[in-house]
Amino acid sequence: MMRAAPKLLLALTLTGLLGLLYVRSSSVDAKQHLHISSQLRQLHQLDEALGQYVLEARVGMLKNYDPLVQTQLHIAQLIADLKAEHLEFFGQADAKLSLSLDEYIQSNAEKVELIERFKSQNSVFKNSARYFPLAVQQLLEGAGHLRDGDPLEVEVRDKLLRDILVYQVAPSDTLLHASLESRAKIAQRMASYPPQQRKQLQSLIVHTAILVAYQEELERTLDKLFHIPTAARLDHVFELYNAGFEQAEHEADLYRFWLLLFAFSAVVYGAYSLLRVTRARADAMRALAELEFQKFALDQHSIVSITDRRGAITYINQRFTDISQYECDEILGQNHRVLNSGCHSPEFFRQMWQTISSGQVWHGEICNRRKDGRLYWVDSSIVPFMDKQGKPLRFVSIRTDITARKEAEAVMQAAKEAAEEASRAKSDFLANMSHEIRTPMNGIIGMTELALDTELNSEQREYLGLVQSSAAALLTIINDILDFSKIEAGKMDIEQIDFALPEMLAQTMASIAPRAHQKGLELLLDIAPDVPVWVAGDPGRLRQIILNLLGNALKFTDSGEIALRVTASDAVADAQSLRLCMSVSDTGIGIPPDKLQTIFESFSQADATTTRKYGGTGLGLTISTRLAELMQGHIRVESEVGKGSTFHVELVLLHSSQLAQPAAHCSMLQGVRVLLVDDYAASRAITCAILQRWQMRVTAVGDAAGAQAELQAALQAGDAYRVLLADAQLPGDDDGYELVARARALQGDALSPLLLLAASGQRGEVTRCSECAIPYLYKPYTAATLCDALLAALGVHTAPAVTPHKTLRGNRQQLHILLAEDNQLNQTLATRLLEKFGHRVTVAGNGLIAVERWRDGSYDVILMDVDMPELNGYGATAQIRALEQDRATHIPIIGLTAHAMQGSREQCLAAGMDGYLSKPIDTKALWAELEGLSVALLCPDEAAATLPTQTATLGFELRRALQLMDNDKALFDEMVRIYRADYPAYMERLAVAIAADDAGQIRQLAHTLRGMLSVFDVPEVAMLAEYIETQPGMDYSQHYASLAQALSGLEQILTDCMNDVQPQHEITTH
Amino acid sequence: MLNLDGTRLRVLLLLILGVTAILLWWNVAAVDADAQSAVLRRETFIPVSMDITQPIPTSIKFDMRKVALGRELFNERRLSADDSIACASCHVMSQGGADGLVHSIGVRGAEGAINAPTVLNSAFNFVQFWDGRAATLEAQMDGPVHHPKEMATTWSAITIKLSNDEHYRKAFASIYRDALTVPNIKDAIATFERSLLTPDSRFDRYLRGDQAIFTAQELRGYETFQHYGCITCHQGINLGGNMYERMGLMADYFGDRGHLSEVDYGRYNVTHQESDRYYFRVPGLRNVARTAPYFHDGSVTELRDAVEIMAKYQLGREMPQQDAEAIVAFLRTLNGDYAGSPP
Repeated sequence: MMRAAPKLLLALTLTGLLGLLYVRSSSVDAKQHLHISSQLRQLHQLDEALGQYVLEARVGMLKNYDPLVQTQLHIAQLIADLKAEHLEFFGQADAKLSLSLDEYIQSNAEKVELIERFKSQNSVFKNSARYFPLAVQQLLEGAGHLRDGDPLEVEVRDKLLRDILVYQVAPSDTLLHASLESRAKIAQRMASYPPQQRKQLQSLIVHTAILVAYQEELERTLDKLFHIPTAARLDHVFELYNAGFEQAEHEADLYRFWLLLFAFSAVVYGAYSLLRVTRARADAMRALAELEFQKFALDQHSIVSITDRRGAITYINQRFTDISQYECDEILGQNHRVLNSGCHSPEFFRQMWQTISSGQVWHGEICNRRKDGRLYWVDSSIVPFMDKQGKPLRFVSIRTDITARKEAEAVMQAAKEAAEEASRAKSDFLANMSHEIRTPMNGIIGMTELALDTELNSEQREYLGLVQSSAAALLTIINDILDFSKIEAGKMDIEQIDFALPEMLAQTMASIAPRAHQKGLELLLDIAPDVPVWVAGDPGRLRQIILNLLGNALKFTDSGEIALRVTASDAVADAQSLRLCMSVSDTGIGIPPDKLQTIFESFSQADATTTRKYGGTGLGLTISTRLAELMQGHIRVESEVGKGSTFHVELVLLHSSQLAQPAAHCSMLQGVRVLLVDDYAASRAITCAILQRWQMRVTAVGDAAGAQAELQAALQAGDAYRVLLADAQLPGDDDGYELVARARALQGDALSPLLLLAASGQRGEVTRCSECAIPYLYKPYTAATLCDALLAALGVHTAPAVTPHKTLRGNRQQLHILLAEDNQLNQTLATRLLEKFGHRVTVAGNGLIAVERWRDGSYDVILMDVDMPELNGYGATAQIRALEQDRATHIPIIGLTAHAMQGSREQCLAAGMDGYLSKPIDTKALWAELEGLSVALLCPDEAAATLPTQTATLGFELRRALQLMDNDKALFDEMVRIYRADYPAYMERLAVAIAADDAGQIRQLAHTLRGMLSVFDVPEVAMLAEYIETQPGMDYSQHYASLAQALSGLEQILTDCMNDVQPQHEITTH
Repeated sequence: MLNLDGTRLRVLLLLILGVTAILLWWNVAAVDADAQSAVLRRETFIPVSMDITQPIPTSIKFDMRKVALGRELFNERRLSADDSIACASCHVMSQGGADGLVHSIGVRGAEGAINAPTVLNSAFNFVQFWDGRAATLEAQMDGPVHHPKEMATTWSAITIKLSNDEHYRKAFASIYRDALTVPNIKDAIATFERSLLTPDSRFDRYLRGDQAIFTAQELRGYETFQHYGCITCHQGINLGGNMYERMGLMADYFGDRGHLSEVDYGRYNVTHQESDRYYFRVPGLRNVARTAPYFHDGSVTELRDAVEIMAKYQLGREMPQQDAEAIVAFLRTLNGDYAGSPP
C-alpha cells in the first residue's frame, strides 16, 4: 500500500496531463472552424448576390423579388445561426469579434431597409416607366387624341417623351429641367383641353413626375445601398475570426505536438514494457520449468501438500495420496484436520499454528490417520508463504514417511525403557541392598563395640576384635560397591565448595600416617608453590581419590616412601578453571606393563593372586578414575615392576572466590639460618625447597651426628643457626629429642628447635615434646603450617604454633539428645553409643512423638531419622521449625538416613535440618556433625570453654603410666579394671553429695577420685577433681559434668590401651 | 518484474496508450467529416428564378407527424382564453384560408380591426401581417394569441391547458425530445402552416407548360395583368407577398375612402417612420378569388372592383371593364386546392 499510492498518483497525473493535452489540442474544432468559415464566406456571397439582385432588379433583368427576399432570409438565418451556434465567438457582448459582427448586422439591417425602399420605389418606377410611352401613345394616337399640330402634341411627343426616355438611360440635370419644363407647359395648358384629354394629360404629368422623382430617388437609394459597407464589415469579421483562429490553431498545434510526443513516449514505453514482460515471462517460464522439475523431484521423495491459510487443502501430490489413501477429489478443499490422528494435544497444534502463522518454518514429527484409520508418522516441515502484510497466504508442508522409523524407535524406546528399568532396578537393588546390609552391619559393628566394652576374657576379646575388623572391612567393601553403583547409575554428583587444598591434602595424608608408620614408610607431601591454597571443588571426592591411591600405595609398598606431589597445570580451560596435577608415587611392587590398563577396569587387580595377598575389592581405582572423570580429569599410571608405581591424577577445579591468605609473615623468615635434619632424602629435599622459597639460609643434613657437627661449625664460624628443624626420629644413636637437647646445651636459647613428628598420634612423643618444651609439628605438613610453626618457635606468634591433636572424645560435651528412630536395633545402638560418650538420650519412636518430646523437654540436639512411620523426619522437622517461629529458638537437627545417596543431604537441609548422617551411624561422622554444631552449642557457655578439659588430651601417656607400674602390663590392666569398676560408684556418690550440697562429702569423694587418677598419671584430669576438692561452695554441677566426661573419656582411653597395648608396644620398639 | 503492481501499472499505461490512439483518431476523423457538414440547415424554400413568377414546387417534404400535430393545434380552441376560438376559426381552409369576414370575430364575440389574410401559401410571404410586424410564422402566432380581441390568452396558459391533455403530452413527447413547450407548439403549428400550399392551380399547371389550360380570356387577363403593371408588385411565386408598397400611390385612397383609422397607417405602426406611413405588405394573389373581402380594411367584396381600385390608386390608370374582367378571369386561375395535406 505504501508503494502503490505514489504509483496511483503518478498514473492519475499522467492521465490528467493526457486529458489536458487532449483538451487543449482539440480546443480548436476544425469542423466548427470550417463551418464558421463557410458561413462567413456564404454571407459574403449572399451579400454580393444581394447587390447583384438589386442591380438586376433595377435594370429589369430580375422580374421578381423572391431571390432578394430569399437571400435576405438566408443572410438573416446565417447571422442567427452564427450568433446562436457559436456563442463562444459571437455571443460575447464585448468581444472584438462579436462587436464587428454586430456592426455587420447593423449595416445589413440598414441594407435591408434600403432594399425594401428600393423594391417599393423600383416597382413604382418600373410601372411608370412601362406606362409612360403607353400614355403618350394613347394621348397622341388613341381615341380623342390630340390633333396634329397641337402645341402639346409636339411638346409631349418631341420633347417630354424623348427627354424622359433619355433621362431614364442617362439622367442629367439638363434633361431633368427640360422634362420639368415640358411638364409645367402641359400643366399650364391642360385646363384648356376636354376632360378625356385633360385626364390623360394629368396622368402623363403624374407619371412624368414619378419617373423624374423616382429616377433620382432610386439612384440615391442604390447609391446609399452600395455604400453600405456590409462586405467590408464581413471581411473584418472574417479577418478577426481568422486571426483568432490561427492563434488558437498555433497553440493547439503546440499541444498536439506534446500530445504526440506523449503518445510516442507511451508507445515506446509500452513496447519496452512489453519487451520486459516478455523477457520476465521467459524467465518466469524457465523458473517455472525449473520449479516444476524440482517439484517433481520433491514429489518423488516427499509427501507434499499445500493448504490455504485456514488449513483447507489445495494441493496434494501422488505420495500424499499413496500414504493417506485419500483420493485427490476427496481431500481437496477439506481441512487438514481430516488427517488428525488425535495423538497430539491441542497445545501441540496451537504451538504449530503459532509458529507458522508468525511466518516461521515449523519442523516436527506428526502422527496422522489414514483413510482406513491406521496411523502413520511423518517428519514434517511446514513452510508458510506470507503476503506483503505479513499474513500467511498458504502453507506448504513437506513430509517424509517415518512410520517405519517411528515403529523401530518405539521398539527401541521400549527396549531402552526396559533396560533403564532394569538398570534402575539394579541401582535401587544395590541401594536397597546396601541399606539392608548396612542395618545389620550397623548392628554387628555397634554391638561388637559394645561387647568389647564388657568384661571379656582375652580369647573372646580377640574374636570380637576380629569380628569388628572384619565388619569394618565389609563395610568398606559395601561403601565401595555403593559408590560404584552410584557412579554407574550416574547419580554421583560433584559438589562445588570452597576449601583449602593443602590443608585437605595434609589431613588426608595424616589419616594414613599411622599405618604408614607401622610399615615404616615415609610420607611426603610436596605442593608446588603455584598451587593456590583456596580452590572450589568437591573435597570429599577428591579426598576419596587421594585416599584410594594412597591406600593402594600403602597396600603394595613394604618399604620406602609414598609421595603426594601436587602441581598446577598450565593447560587451563578458562580463567575460572584450574587444572590440578597430582601424583601419588610409591616404591612398591609395581605393576607389569600388560596389566597397566586392566587395573582401571572394574573388579580387577593386577593379578588375581594380588587379591589374595592384599585383599580389596578392586573397585577403588575404578571409582577414583570415574570420580576424576567427573571432575573433567583422568588418572593414568606409570609403573615399573619392583620399583614402584606413580599414579597421575589430573582434574579440573575452580579458583575459589576466597582469596588466599597472603603469606606475608613468611617474609619474616627471610635470611634466618636454619638447620634441617631429616634422614629421609626426599622429605629433606621437599622441606628444603619450602624453606629456600622463603629465602631462609638452609643447611640440610641427614642425621643427628651431622647436625651436631654443623651446629658446632656454624657456632665457631660465628654464624650460628637460629632454628633447628629436626625430624623426631633420626637414625643413629640420637633421635630428635636428643639432638635438641644437645643443641640447647650448645647454644642455649639462641637456637629455636622445632621437631617434626610423624602423624601417628603417638602420645608419647607429644608428651616428650611437652616435657622437653620443644615445639613440634606433625608430618606431613604444608608450607603454611610449617611457616606458622617456625614463627611460633622463633617466638613470633601469628597463629597457634602447634596444631593441637584433638580427640573427639576429649572435645565432646555432655548433651541432651533426642533420638527419633523407629528401628529398635538402631535405637539401642545409637542410644548406647551416645550414652557411652556421656550424652543423655531420649528416644522417640516416630516423628509425632519426637515433636511431642521436643515440645515437652529441653534438648541440645535432635537426631532425626528421616524414614519413620506416622510422621517422617522431614515432616517432624518442618513442624518443629514452624513451632520455633513462635519461640524464637533454633534446635540443631541432624537427619539420619539409610539412603546413602547424593541428594539426601540437600533434602535434609531443605527440610530445615542442620546436618545429615547416613546410617549406620559412624561415630566419627556423628562427631564431625556435632562438632560442626559445637560452636553454636558451646558459645553460650564461656566458662566451660575455659576449662582445661576442653582442650586437654587428658594428659594420659601409656608409657608414663606403665613406667609408674614398672611396665607391668598385667598390673596396668588390673588397675584399669579396678578403676573402671570403682569410679562410677564414687561419681554417683559425688553426684548425690553435690545434689545434697554436702561439702565435706564432696571434698572427700573428690579427693578419693584424685587419688585414683594419680595411678594413671593424668594430672589434667586429676586437676578437675582437685578443683572440686579445693573450691568449696562453688557451682559443682558444671565441673562435675566435666569431670564425669573426663573420667568417662579416660576410661575409654584406658580400655583402648588395655586392648592395644600390644601393638603400641611394638610400634615403640620399632 | 512480474509482481502485481508492475502488471497493474502496465495495464494502466496500455489503457492510456489506447485512449491516446482513440483520441488522435477522433481528431483526424473529425476533420474528415467536416467536409460534408457545410450544408445549410434550412433548404431554400423558393427556387431562384429571374422570371416574373414560378409554379409552387410540388416536392417539398415535411415532417408529417409535426404536420398532423400542427393541424390538431390549428383546430384547437383551447388556444384561446375561453376555449372558443381556434386558428381555424378565422382561417378556414374551404374559404381560401380566411373567414370571408371584413373583420374576424375573436373571443367573446370581439371584432378585430383588420381583415384576416389567408393562411394558404403564407409560408411564401416575406413577412407576416399586413404591416409585416412578424418575420416568421412562429412570430406571427403571438399576434392572435395575445390579442385581446382575438384569442386573448398567453402561451403559458395554453401550455398548462395542453399539458392537462394526456393526448398532447404523448404526442409532443413522441415528436420532441423536450416534449410540450411553447417553441414546440409554435413549431408544430408553423410546420402545419408551411404545408398549407396550393401548387396545383391552373396557373401553376400553365406555368409548368400546360399552355392550353388557359382560356383565351384567362390568357388575355394574364397578359393584361402584366401590361397594366400589376406584375411590378404582384410578382414572385406568390404573386406578391415579397415587398411593401404604399396604399394609394397614384391617388388618395384613404381620403377617398374616408374614416381613417390607426390600422391604416400600415407599416408606420411598426417602424414609426413617416416614410412608412400607409405602406402595407403587398398581398399574394394566390386564391385571391376565394379570399374576399379585399384589402387590409376588407372594404371591397368584388374582385373586379378590387382590380379596378388597384389600377386607379396604385397604377394611376383608368381600367376598362373588359380589362378588369380579363384580369379577374386570370386571377381565378390562381385558385388552387388545398387537399388537407401538402401536395
